[in-house]
Amino acid sequence: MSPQNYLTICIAMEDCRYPMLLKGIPNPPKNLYIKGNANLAALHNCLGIVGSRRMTPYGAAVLEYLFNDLVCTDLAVVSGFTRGVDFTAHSLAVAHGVPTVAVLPCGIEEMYPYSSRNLYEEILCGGGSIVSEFVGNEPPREWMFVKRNRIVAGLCKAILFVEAGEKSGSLITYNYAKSYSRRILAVPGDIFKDSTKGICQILREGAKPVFSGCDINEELGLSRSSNAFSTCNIDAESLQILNVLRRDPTNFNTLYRQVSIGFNQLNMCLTTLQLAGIIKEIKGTYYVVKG
Amino acid sequence: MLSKVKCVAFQGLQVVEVDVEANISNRGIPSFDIVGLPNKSIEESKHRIKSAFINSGYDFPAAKITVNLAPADIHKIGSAYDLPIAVAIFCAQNQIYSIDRRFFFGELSLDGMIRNTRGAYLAVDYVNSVTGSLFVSAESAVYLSTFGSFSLFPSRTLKEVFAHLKGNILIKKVALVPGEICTNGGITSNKDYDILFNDVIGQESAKRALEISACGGHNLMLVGSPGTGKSMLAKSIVSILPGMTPQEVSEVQKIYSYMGISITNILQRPFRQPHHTISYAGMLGGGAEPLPGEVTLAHDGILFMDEFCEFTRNVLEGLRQPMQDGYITLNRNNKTVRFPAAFSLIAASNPCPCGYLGHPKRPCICSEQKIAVYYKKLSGPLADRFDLFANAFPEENFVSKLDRLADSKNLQLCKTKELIELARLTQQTRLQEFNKVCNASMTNKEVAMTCQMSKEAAALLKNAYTHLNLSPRGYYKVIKVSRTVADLCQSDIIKEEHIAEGLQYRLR
Repeated sequence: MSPQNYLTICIAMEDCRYPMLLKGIPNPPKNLYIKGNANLAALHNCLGIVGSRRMTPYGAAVLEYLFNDLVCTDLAVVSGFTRGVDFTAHSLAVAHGVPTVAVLPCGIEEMYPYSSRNLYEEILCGGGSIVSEFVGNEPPREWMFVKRNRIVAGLCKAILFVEAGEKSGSLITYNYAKSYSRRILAVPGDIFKDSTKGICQILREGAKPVFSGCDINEELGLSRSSNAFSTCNIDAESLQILNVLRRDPTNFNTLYRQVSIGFNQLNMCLTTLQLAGIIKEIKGTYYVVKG
Repeated sequence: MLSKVKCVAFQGLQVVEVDVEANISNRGIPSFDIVGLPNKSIEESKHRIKSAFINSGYDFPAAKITVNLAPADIHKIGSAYDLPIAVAIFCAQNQIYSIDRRFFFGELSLDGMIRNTRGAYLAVDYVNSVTGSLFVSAESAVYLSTFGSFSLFPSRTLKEVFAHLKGNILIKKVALVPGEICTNGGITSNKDYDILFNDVIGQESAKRALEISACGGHNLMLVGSPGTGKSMLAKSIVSILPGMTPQEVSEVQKIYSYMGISITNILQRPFRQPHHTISYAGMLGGGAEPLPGEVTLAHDGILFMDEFCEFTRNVLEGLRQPMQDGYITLNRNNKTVRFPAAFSLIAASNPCPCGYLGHPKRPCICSEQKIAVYYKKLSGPLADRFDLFANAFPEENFVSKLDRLADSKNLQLCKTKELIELARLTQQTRLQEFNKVCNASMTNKEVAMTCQMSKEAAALLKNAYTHLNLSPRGYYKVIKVSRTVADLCQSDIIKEEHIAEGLQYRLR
């Protein structure tokens, strides 16, 4: 499947489908080229999710965790369709049935990066939108990424920063968001890690720290429709595991030494918890992503 | 004056009976010709034979000698024809005809000594199957006699053989009690292993994966940062591998004998560790006269590939056929040779080119692109052939654990070799009708026929199939691994906990 298989719709600023928030920024794009759902104005609560291309397992676990609380709200996820945090945000949104908008740094008929064609289709099949201000097959260039970040910031009511290094491109989006006076949210991380340096800077300048999906809902003024997940009856052993993992996400071996559970039983519990979606294993480390 | 003695030729690991015919004619100019597609190595044997005759105190006939190696349409290579040609000439000279069903095999040195020659085991195995007897160097005979009751004449010198044929002396046959393989060479003690399984500190999950791999013959992929002990883990598997069946011993012996590699402990499974710069031919076998590669040398044993993603692409892709079929076929314009290659593959790899992706302390400095290229080597079809994926983690409390090696939990975890032996035996009995020895080689149909699951186990697996995005192949792999886990627990049916454990080793 290539982008040409999907119809492109061009909406000008005067179009009623043109998003209001974007219209309000100093230099809004004259035309938006859209594939998929073109009615961006209908998305009232856009949350931008921005972060590093080099996402660590921590970032992946954080997104997984946050999405569990975002599911039932009236929300759309906007991101930049790049590797790392952006891709994870898009695919989690698709998986949870949340509308998602991908803003491309290249011409609307171009697939960038090419390896992402599966996600491209998933987004469109899931009722999401692919957006760009550039027409045709223009390949991405550095300045276009900056322009793209401007649209991401412009579209959203609030922007969430998940992981950002010291000189991350996310900080460009941050500066745009600041100048458009968008609400800025950031997920704290390990202060010793490079992947948190940019986040530290954002938090220092007064962004709201986010610890759970509820923090985001609160900030956007959304109420979570009452669908608290049914606490499946967790046995004592699983509870023991969850307690260890909540304190410090760790690998199998360390976990095995910290709990008083036999090898077989530990495997059993981990598999059950994984199937129930309460924990997730990313690159060998187990994270609690629910509750 | 015509004579005929027997010898063998090899086509791959297949043995072909060869008649060595010698004719000595007193008419014509004295000459010595060998016909019947001899290789250069056989052409050279003329000089060795002449010298050996003279140095053994016999006259080399000064006549027109023609030696024919029949069937004459098979290429013959190697120095093992020295002895049969010499004997054929001697018999023609002395008109000895009663040498039926006796085979001769060995290279001569100039002073008439008989040397060890590669392929002796293949020869004796064939000779035994046609109930003949074999003249072979004394040293080889002692070694070969450890494998069973072969009819062997250990011959030290050409002089001895000639005297025996003339009836002057009698070379004593080496004969062992028929039946079992002599376990003489098979006693293993912990001293035989470089690294013991219990020497590995921590790494419980990786060690467990190794146990399962050793027990069921599953291919295992170990991923971990540099220095976490991947190589040590892989090498330690040797100490817990189950012993070989007599048939397996024979198969391995044939290969090593063909290559001329001697084995110190004949009951120990081979462990091969090729370097990642190995060529395609070195790995899979090759050459104009095809020789087995590392995959064949690892037959019935372990092929350990350290730095898996650093091997060249064609070597890795070439592994697919032997991993699937258990043999490798080498096609040359004049022949097709098939070598056995039923190995279990243990691959070790860094998580990324710099090695620190996902490391708790050190940052990874690789670009996305670099990581993608690195993993491209481990292509879908190849990754599909691994049953087990395990991580080696950096040990956080390594130093403190050095003191507590005999940690009780550690001991409880380390299933002894006996447990693995027992589980392997269970597998053999269960898979007897399919002529298989371990769970890893089961086909999907055989899995369905032999692997019974409890109701809860089936439900768990079904749940996992939908929630964890297993592929149909992945589904069967989980069952196979769970079957081995159940075997290690001496359980007839696969229970819920076995499936739960099997699921932890899938590719993620």
